[in-house]
Amino acid sequence: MSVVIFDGKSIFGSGPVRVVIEPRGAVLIPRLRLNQPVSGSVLIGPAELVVQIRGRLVASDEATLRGLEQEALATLTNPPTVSRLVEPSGAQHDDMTYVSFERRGWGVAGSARDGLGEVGTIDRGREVSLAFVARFVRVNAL
Amino acid sequence: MILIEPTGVTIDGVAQAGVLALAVEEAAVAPVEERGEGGPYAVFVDSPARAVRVIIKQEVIGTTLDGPRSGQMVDVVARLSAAGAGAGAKSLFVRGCVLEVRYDLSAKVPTRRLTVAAVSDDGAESPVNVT
Repeated sequence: MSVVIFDGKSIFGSGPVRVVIEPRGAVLIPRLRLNQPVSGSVLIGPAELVVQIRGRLVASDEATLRGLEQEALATLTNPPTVSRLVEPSGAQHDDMTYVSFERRGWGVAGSARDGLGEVGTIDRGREVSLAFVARFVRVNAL
Repeated sequence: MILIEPTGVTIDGVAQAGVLALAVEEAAVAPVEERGEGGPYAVFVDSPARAVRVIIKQEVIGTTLDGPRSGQMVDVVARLSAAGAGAGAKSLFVRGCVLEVRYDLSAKVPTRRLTVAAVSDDGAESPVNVT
């Protein structure tokens, strides 16, 4: 079972998911971006932890699939929910903010699906499914 | 599905002679094959985009000046029952677009290979109808 837990609840069903941690380290801004006509960068602090959940909602019919999507969207509250994110592996990330849910086509590297502009389409095969990317950010306090 | 030397094959109502084989091929166009966090193997595979091709190979008997052309919509019908049109006989019906008309002139008797891309009425129902 590939269950992602956020705020104590499973939010993306039991379809397949992969976990992507965006690059860690320092955030640099080129001085040119700050209207300083010199080379170099300004170090402004550590990068926020960003965890992407890339997965696929899977259901036996379209109504159930849309219900799963609504559940995922319902957790996208305003103001955003800040809570613990638990990966399917059991790895935990505290104080994560659920910031976005996006329908997105993704698949096996090099497959015909890659880059075909099928972003956001519902796939209707044996099952009804939908690829997505959800982003969770540990927002740095000012 | 493949029919060897089928009888009763028609294209747009025109009986086809010398049909050596009629095959219906189905393949995933853009398969979904997902892996999870558990290990290297796919945990979800599906075929949400499929291509169905009807391939008819037939001997060319005599000069033919017309025939199906690429891009043409055709109705392909074949009798499935070896017993002919008796009780229990079934028919295959496929409507589709001709993709290729190719000839093999190297054989003693030239052959024609016709490839038809099957078209579904609504995208959900199989374009191959057996009744």
